[in-house]
Amino acid sequence: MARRALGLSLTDRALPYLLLVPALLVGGVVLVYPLVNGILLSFTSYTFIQPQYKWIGVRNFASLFKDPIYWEVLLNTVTLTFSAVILQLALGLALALLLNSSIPFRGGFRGGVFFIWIMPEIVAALIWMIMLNSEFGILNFLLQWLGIAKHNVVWLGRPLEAKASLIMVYAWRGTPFFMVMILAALQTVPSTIVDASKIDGANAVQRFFVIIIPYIRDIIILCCLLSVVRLFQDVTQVTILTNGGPIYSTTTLAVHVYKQAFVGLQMGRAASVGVTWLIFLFVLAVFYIRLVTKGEFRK
Amino acid sequence: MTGTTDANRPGRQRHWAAWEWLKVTFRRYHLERWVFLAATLVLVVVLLFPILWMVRISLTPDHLLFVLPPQGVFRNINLAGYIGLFSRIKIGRFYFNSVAVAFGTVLTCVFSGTLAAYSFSRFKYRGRNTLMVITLSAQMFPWAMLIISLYILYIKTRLLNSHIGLILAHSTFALPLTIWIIKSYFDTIPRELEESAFIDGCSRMRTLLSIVLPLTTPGVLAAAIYVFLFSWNDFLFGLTLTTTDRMRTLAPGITMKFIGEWEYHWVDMMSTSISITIPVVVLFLFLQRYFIEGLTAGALKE
Amino acid sequence: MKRTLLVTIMLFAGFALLYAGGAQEKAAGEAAGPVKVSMSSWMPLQEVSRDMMLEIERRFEKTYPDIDVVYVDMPFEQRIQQTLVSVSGGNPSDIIHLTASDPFQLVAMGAITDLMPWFRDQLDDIPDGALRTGLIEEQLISVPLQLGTIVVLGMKKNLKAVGLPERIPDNWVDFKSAVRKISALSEKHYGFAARTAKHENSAYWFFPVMYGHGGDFEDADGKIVFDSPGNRAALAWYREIGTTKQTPMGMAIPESRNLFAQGSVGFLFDGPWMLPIMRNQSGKGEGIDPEYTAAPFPKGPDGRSRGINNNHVLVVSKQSKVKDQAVTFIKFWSQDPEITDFHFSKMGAIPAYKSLQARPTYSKLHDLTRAAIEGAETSDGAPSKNPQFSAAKEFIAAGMQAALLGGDPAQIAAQTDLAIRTLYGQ
Repeated sequence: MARRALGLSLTDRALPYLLLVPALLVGGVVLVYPLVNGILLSFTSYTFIQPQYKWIGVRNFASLFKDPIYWEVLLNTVTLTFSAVILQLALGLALALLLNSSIPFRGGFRGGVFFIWIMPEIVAALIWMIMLNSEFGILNFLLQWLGIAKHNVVWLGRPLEAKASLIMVYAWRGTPFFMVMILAALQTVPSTIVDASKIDGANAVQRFFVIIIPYIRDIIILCCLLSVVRLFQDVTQVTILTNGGPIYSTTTLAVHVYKQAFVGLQMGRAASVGVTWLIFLFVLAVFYIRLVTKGEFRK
Repeated sequence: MTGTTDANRPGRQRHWAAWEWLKVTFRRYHLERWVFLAATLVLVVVLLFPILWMVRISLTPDHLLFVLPPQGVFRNINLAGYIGLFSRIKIGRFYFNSVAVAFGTVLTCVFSGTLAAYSFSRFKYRGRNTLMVITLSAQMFPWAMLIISLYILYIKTRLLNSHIGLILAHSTFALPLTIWIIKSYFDTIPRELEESAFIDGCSRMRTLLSIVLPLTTPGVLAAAIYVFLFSWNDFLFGLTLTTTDRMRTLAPGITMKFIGEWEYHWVDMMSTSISITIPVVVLFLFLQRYFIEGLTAGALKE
Repeated sequence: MKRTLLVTIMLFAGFALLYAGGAQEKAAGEAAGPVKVSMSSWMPLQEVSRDMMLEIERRFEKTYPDIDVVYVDMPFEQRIQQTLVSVSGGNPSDIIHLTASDPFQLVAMGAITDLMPWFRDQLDDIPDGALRTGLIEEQLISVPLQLGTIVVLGMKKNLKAVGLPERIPDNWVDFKSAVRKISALSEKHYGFAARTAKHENSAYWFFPVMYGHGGDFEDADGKIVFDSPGNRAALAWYREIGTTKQTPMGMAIPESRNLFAQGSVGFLFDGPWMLPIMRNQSGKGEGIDPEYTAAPFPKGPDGRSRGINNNHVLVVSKQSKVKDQAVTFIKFWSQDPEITDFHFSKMGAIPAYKSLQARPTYSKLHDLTRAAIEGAETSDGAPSKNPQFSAAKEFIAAGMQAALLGGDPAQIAAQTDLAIRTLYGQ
């Protein structure tokens, strides 16, 4: 008791740092070398053919910013990612609310939604690829059968349709994550408040916005951030569905980096794209932290 | 109910059932109910359609795969894709490797992640915000670039083709998100709960273990699931950091088997994918009781 | 219940980890015993070719008991990435299985052995096109394993339906007219299934179209000549077929093969591997064989037929310490009459050596196989040996797609030309 009363002991002050040690060991050791190496590469003219660290300063970045393709790629990435995340959020929220209730077959539905997340990514991309095929894909068939479309839609061969297809696939694949996280968050809403509000005569919509949202708000924002960060990394799905085409309309930063590195063999150039990506997301994360820690530590 | 709260403070006593909410809605707005249910059905069916299509493909003979309109969906059921699946397509070892690595990653991440999340959530110290953002940086740099340095590092440290090596690689990239997710759930627990435990003489660690964790089990489980799936689904690291069949994981393994130079073996690919995914789905359905329907003291309000 | 579950999970995990352990690859430090030759390839991986590869290994090790061949799995789609990574990491396999234009990036990295000393006396036996694919400045950096000449396939019934003889048109003008006529048959019919995906492979398949219109990629001195009347005409044709539904859009390679096998397409550019694929995908087995024909590419404006190939090649890495033994295996696989017959019987693989092609095994052949052998002389697998060629093909793919979507051929040709020249440093 006396120890408590006198304020923080040495162990107490060191504790927060001590708690971080396991995480730093796991994450730091493996990450530091590749990450630092990767960032350094962006300032060199390193290629597979001439693997030397010849320092060229910011020349990679200069030529990058002058390249119109880079800006198109950046715009694509932002468009695709944010559209997909919005869809993921909408669908995930809807599913979480629905499957949290006692509707029949909810176990089966939940299982099905899990399945989407658990199946291998390559298989998911391939299945969509054949469903979206303009000639013998089932999607076009259904659209025409239902009378919604008159001719075959070239999902993967035209710029706008290709973007829409990719957003669809991202949204499909990422919704289960939102659902699971929001479901877990819904459990934290205390029933006493809900009951009290019902007694006070609040209707369903009011309850949703005034009571539920504050509880799940932080989780939702976190999920959006995490989803954006992950979506930036996707190479597989783009490669299988459109390979960045048509022309450059679905080339994202990740695909661009991959092509620069493994097709163009320009490691330095690829790394510079990576650094711009890092900065972009870093800024986003800082904003997120501001947003979330605004009211922290207030009694 | 344990603990403090008056009605205005977010407490954490009971679970609240959405069904309650729905029931009231139905009673008041009868018309809405049907629209609601219909929308549910449409949503779920549309979402699950690709999976149904997968099943269909796994049961279709090769030459009817891409014929429209889909023919003989029920007539030509071809079980060749499933019969003798595991003896024909030797993925048992891949399965084992994936499970071992995934479990290892989950344990590592949940352990170190929980501690780190507690640190970020409950303490205020210099560099905290910076550290938080830096932890995300693992995910903010293209993996294609990191993979080469990682490969060389692994050769030098002889971690290539080992479970430990893969666990370490997966943990490095899954850990940041684990920390952030768990921290978010920790944040939803009011400090007052801990303060009172503190005053009663509990140490920090005990508070963490006996008070904070039980209340956020759903969140920790959700994080664990995320990590498991991150590791389970990983393709890039498995492809590059293992070069022998003995150590290969599922995702690169099945890719190699079914995506050939000239043809994709759709039927086998789908039947294998379905067969390896279903056990995990069953496991999750079993686990979901713990994070969807709750574990804490206090009955589920009907 | 909860506690039991938790304990069970932990036990399971612990168990799994126990069995896991660090089962690392032992360093290759065996003193005596057979010499180990490692080969990276996708053939031992694939269901269709795995048994054959194991059999070849068995027969080889019986004939050469002092050499032990070890296969290293390398998936086809990731072969370049995996090879680059393993070379950078300092542990490439002794033999690397690749396709025609893959090796040149590795050559620029100094990672490939010159095979001329071992094959010098056999050069005449290799068809000209296949040989040119592996030659760079007097060095033989790759040897062909099997012929992968790209030829034109045509569905006989569609040709008949538009009143044309059931064979591939002789020159490009007739070819284009046939494509137009077949597309007009119905909305579901397409004259030609072009490779329209944004893939360097698709760009490569555009080359015969360029040649057929009198265009080229680079001239004899290696200068890029992409902006030429011939190429502009080729792009104009692509614009025509893209905007008037003479070709299906947005398909990856396996899908265009599917479409062709279903019979609604007039022509397809592909290789001898289509024989088993057609049988499989049409559902008719060998019954599909008489329904299509094949021939080398039609003649261009200069009266020559010029094509491309996608031969499988084998290279030996420079870091290999067992080059002699590696070459022994290469010669065994690609030149031993029994083995090449076996390979042909299993996979339809055509041997790359003219002396072998004369064997009785290859006397009664489908049009497709015969066309592949015939076209081997005039098809080049690597029109440019520059390591930046893959990146150049990316630009061509983008240009090709722009044309298909209705872009202006002159503008596209100029832009692509500029981009490639900048890439090549010209």
